[in-house]
Parts: sequence; structure tokens; C-alpha cells
Amino acid sequence: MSRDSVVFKGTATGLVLELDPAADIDDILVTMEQKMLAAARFFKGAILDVAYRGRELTPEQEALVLDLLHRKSGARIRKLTREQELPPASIISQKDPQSAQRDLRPAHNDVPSKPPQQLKNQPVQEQMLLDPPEKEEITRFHKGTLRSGQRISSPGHVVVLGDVNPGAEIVAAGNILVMGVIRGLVHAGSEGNRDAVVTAIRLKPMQLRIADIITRPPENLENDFFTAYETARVKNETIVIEETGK
Amino acid sequence: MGEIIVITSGKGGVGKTTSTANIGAGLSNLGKKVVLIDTDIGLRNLDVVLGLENRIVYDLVDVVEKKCRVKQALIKDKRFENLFLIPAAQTRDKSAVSPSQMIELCDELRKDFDFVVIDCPAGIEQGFKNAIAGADRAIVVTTPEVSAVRDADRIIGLLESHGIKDPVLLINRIRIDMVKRGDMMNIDDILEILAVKHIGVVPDDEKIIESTNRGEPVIADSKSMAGQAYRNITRRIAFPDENIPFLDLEPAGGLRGLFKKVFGDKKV
Repeated sequence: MSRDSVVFKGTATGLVLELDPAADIDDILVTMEQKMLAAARFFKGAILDVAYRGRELTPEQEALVLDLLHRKSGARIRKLTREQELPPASIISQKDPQSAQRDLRPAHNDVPSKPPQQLKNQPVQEQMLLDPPEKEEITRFHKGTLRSGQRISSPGHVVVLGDVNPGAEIVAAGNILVMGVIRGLVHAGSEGNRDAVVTAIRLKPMQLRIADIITRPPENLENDFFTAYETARVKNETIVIEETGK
Repeated sequence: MGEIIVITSGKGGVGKTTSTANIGAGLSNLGKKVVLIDTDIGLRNLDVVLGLENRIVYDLVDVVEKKCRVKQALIKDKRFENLFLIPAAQTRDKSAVSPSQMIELCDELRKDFDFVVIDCPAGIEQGFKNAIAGADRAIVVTTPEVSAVRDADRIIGLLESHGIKDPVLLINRIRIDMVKRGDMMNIDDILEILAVKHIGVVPDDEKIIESTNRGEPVIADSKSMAGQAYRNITRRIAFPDENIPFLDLEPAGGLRGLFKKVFGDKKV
């Protein structure tokens, strides 16, 4: 296969499948499956509108593609349509305006142009879809206080600008950084990484977990001395809290 | 085989959770093996009132979704032997559990415990339906307010239509001085409207707020009137054939109490 029969592209609302007009439908389906398996974690949990372009699909073929997306992507697919039905402005993944593939650009030219270094090769958005970042590199950012009943989880790190109140939960495969007080439940290294740490301005967690270790603070904890921040990490199989910037 | 009791009220804030904690603690004090289930998914409180919040690893939703075994979700109380809690999930909602799953769970717990006490959420929707699904009997909590009594009436009707016969009433937060002045509904007024038996009357007591905030059931406080009321209630539940007299709610101390002791209760 000299050229991929399917190329995945990201848009503001979902995904565009660029289909090779010459390839047959079976080839397209096989390639799609391989790509989705490679990027399964990236799609997981997403809600996507999917459009396709490059060739026509019969309703039967459309059903096959949709079925495959449902089964293999791990994402929730809201709809599958031909591309022109999507508003053109939603296309983020643009081609180099100077390249020969000009015809693939959206009809409107008022889309902001990208910095030069991004125009040289594949668009950045597409690169991300094809080679998902190491999941530890993904960081979920939450602005504001996390209140009781609210839960943030991430395959990577979590950063919260605010407090984490009792009854709130953060679960991250990577590290957790809270620019406030942790009073709720936090679980760093949730997939088994004992090197993960939890850092906060004040650590008063209901329960603190790193990887497979669960701790809770002693019953009558009174330590209202000033620190710049506190970090919980695993040392000798137990979770210890270090104060920094006293 | 254990007995499944649901504590419900319709109206919020009348003391379902406090009553559940105290009745559970009281029953375990009487040597019974007790498990409490918090069915208020998304607004859990029972764990806080019992001071067990920081021990939660698995919850009710994990149990019904079979993510863990029932035993793994049982949290042992720190003060009362034979008292266990299955906490509610906080980051889910009532639809995470179905009545049939509750029946299954109750029937499993029934084998190992003398009493399963279910803390019902306020309202008459899904959470209420889950809470009463597996119950053999019900305790309806009300306060001496028209709104709470109205809701209790509605709840008693719903319980009866779900086949839970003869629910009993727990009248909470009564203030005998206000009743005397005629500013508060008295026990007979409430019983006349609701036409059910009552299992106890709990006086309004500041100790309840103190103990709730500390995460310790008031039943352990031998000086508290409310604690005594709950001790009586648990005896009535555990030993239905025994005749336990209702608590004398007259204020015992103070000048007025002394006068009463000396001159007898004439007009007060």
C-alpha cells in the first residue's frame, strides 16, 4: 500500500475521514481498523461527529464504516455524514495553502492561518490523531473549585486551579497538582505508577491514594503551619507528605 | 434471617440520616449485627455522620455493578462492634441503582445480619423506590410541622401501595415547651392525622448537632435526652414484645423542674 486508503483528520467538532477514491471499501475498512486500534486510547470517551470526503459511499458502505467506528474507536459517534454537510469553518486541519492540495482547503479563506513551522509538514492536529501523545503527557486542566460529587479523571495528569472539597474526586494515571486545598479524595498513579505525586498548597485529603496504596490522615490532624506547598509521594511502600518552602 | 428496615420521610431535613445512624448504633449496642445502607446516591451523608467518610473505598454502586464483593464494601464502624456501613456513591446519581438490584442486595445481606437499616433519600422518586424495594418494614420520620406531617402522610400511602404494611412513626425534634404553649403540634395531633403507631418521640437536642458534627452517634451519650429516646426506640425494634415506656420529655432540671417536683405538675 503506497498511500493510506484512509487518513484521519481532526476538526473542532469531530473527525474527517479522507478516503482514497481508488481504494476499495474493504481496504478502507481494514486500514481504519488498524489506525483506530493504534489510537484507541486517544478516541476513548470522546463524542465525535464524523464526516468523510474523497469519495462517495453507498448507504450500505456508510453503515459499515459507522459500525466499525462504533465498535473500534471507543468514542461515541453522533453522526456520519459527507463532508460538505459540516460547516467549513469547523475544519481545523488545513493543508498548506501553497501546496498542490489546495482543493482540500475549506471554501472560506477567513480561517486564521497557522504559524509557518506548522505548515511545513503534516498539520499538527492530524499528527496528534495519528500518533497519540504518551498518555502521561495528556493533562486535564480544571479552573475553579471542585465540589462534592464532582469527579475529574485523566489518563495523564490533572491540574486544578482551586480547592478540592470533601466528596470530590480526582483520579489520574499521572500526577496531581492542586493550586488550593485538597480536602477530598485524590488518586494519583491510578494505573499503578508509584512514582506519581500529589502536590497542593494544603493537603488535608479525606483519603489519598498513590497507585495501589491508600492512606487517610490521622484522626486529629492539626497542622496549620505555613508551607508554600505540600507533596505526597511514595517512600518505602508508604505515602509520606513533604512540606516545601517553609 | 435478618430484617430489612427502611428509614424514610418524604421531606428532607427531618432527621432520617441521624435516626439511621443512631438506630443502627443502638441495635449493635444491643448485640445485634447491623449493616446500614446509604441510598442517597450523589448526596451521601451517613458516612459523614458516622465519621467514616475517610474509609470509603467501595460504595453501593460498585456493589450493584459487581465491581467488588459485598464484603469489600462493608465499612466497619470505629466505635460500635457489629455495625457496618455500605456508603452511597457521591459522583453518581440515583439511576445508577435499580429496585431489583436493591432487592438482590438486601436478600444477600439478610443472611449475615440481624438488621439491615436503609437510609432513604428525601423525595418520592427513584431514590425512594430503590430504598424501599427490599424493605420488610418502614420507619417514617417526621417533625411536628405541618409540611413534614403532610409529606409523611404521602409517604405512608406510597409505602402501603408498595406492600409495606404498618409503617411506624418516629416523631423527631419535638420541643415540649413549645407544645405546652400551643405553638407546636403535639404528638396526638400528629398521630390522629397519620393514623399509624409511633415507635418513639425524640426531643430537639443541641447534643445532636454536636455529635453529628463530631461524627459520633448521640446514642452513646448517656446524658443526652435524644440519646435516651433513641435507646428506647432501638429496644422497641429489637424486642417488639417488651413494653418500653415512652420517655418523659418534661424538662427535668432548672427552677421550673424543681417547682414541679416539689408542688406537682398542676398547670405547667
